Amino acid sequence: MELDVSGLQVTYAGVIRALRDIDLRVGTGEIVAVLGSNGAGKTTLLRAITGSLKRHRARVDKGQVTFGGRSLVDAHPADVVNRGVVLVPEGRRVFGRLSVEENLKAGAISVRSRATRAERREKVYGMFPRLAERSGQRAALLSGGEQQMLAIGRALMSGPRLLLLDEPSLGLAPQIVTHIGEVLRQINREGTSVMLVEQNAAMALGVADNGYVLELGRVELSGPAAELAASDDIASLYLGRGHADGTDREAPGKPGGPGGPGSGVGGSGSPGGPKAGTAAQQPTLSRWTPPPRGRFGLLGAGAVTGAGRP
Amino acid sequence: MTTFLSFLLNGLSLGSLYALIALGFVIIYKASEILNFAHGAFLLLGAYVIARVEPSVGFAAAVAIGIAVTALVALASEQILFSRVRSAHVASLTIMTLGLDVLITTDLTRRIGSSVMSLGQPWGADVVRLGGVNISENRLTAIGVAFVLIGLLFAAFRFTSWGVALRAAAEDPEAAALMGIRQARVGAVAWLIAGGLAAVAAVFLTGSPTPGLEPNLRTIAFAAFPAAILGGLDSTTGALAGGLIVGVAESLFAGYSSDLTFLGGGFSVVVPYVVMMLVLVVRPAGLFGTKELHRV
Ligand SMILES: Nc1ncnc2c1ncn2[C@@H]1O[C@H](COP(=O)(O)OP(=O)(O)OP(=O)(O)O)[C@@H](O)[C@H]1O
Ligand SMILES: [Mg+2]
Repeated sequence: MELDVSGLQVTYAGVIRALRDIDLRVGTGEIVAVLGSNGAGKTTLLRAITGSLKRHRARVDKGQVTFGGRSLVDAHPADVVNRGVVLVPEGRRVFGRLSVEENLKAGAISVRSRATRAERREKVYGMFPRLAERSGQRAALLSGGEQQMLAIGRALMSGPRLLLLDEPSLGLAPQIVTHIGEVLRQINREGTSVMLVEQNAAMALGVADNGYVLELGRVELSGPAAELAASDDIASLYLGRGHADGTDREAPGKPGGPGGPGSGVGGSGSPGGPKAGTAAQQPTLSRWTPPPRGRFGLLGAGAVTGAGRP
Repeated sequence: MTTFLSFLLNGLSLGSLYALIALGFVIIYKASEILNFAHGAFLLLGAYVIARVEPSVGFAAAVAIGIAVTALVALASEQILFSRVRSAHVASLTIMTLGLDVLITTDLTRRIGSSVMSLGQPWGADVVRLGGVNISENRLTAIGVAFVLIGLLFAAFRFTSWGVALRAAAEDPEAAALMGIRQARVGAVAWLIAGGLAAVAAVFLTGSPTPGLEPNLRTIAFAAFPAAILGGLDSTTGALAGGLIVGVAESLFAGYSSDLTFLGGGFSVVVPYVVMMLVLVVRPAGLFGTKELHRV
């Protein structure tokens, strides 16, 4: 079963175009990383896959989302879960007033068989012993890391074939982020495909097979994770490594790239830093990565293909 | 002392009935975010159906039919009116429930007319003596039945998939949907249960010492609203506590009204509201509520 997104365009409230012409694929058994800064459209992409657009007054204008060949566009979120695709939402969203065990039960609502539920619960407890120790406690009392474990465990209760995660490393200590990366690898080894949306590129590209970079609602870059991780652009923009000798590669011809300035994506903040060179083409990036003088185009790293499929 | 105990016991009985009604009100609110002011009308409907069919089918069958009809009408109103206009403002939905209330009540009031209908409770007006305290058999049975039902409901809430789904969806509808919970289905079950509970409460609220079914049953049931709100609106424990508090307070004030003439006659009628206001001033979210009521 593979997830296939093609030519996807999504609009909020009929006016705010959050995604345009997205092509993306998660093959069976793959881990795919989706990177992008704030407002790039990562969460919107996940909403489109999980049937949650309607709740946010958004819709698919164009394009397709299919899983195992069947369309997920306009599906009810519960049907998406039944088809084997489940999301660990941004900000964890565990049910704070429910106990840990009840959270897992809520995650297994689509599972008829009591035996299957019990088996999966034991598996989750095996994977996260901390949760087993706290099974009777209200989820609100767990630490952030434990809540993220619970959010992942809860999603696993439905027995997904494809697990989607929206910034699971957000606000967590480095060791816990590493642990989550290991857990995702393990889940993947056991046969679940993973689509990992992250701003933490180091972790995401570390575990993924392939990666995509979203900017302003478009796929700016995609390719094998190792190559993306090695590319200077990713290094400087997402991994916090320096921009050593950036100057000699000044703007290697980004031919009026597709994600031009002001492409209609609203609300994600304006460029905070000085605009220079191609700066205007990546306004959202400048907000959190202080722009090095004159250079922040994403393209240009030789090994990596341009927008599109890996 | 025995009079006090008598007032207390009668208050507990009345309170357990309020709790049944308040619980229905609360689970509907939790499941659908609607304040269902048609709940009093559901109660009236349950009583009316039972009173109408009892002569031909007998009491037990009549109660079963009354419960079923009320539950189905509650479900139907949710399906026809409220689930379709999910996107409407909560206030509009609440006003819609008032409209439904007026509709059902007006029709039933016309049908009942000025008569006092009997539901044919087999225990009639018998009075039991319990350790020196007199209580009508009706009121005593009410306590037993109400507590069994409340116990079952609490167990369902805690342990069944429906209960977990309802609580999850009440806390975070979007996350619940992402876990595969169908809020519409959870809500439908909530309306069914709430309707059924209202019909049960009607059986006892129309029994001794009340002479029978009169249209003002709906106003009696209205005391369950402040009970639900002072308990915390989104808390089932709160509905139980609120119901009991309101029932006991009302019964005590009614019982001692001759000593409390400075409050004016009929003060017991406003007691539920006074208690509610006092509680809300101190705890705006109610006794057990988790959300302040600003959403309404
Ligand atoms: N409910 C909404 N209504 C209107 N516009 C929205 C809504 N949600 C998101 N948007 C807009 O869609 C664009 C993409 O937002 P999205 O939340 O998908 O970004 P993101 O990549 O997940 O960002 P972040 O890293 O901050 O979570 C943004 O411009 C945002 O303002
Ligand atoms: Mg997001």
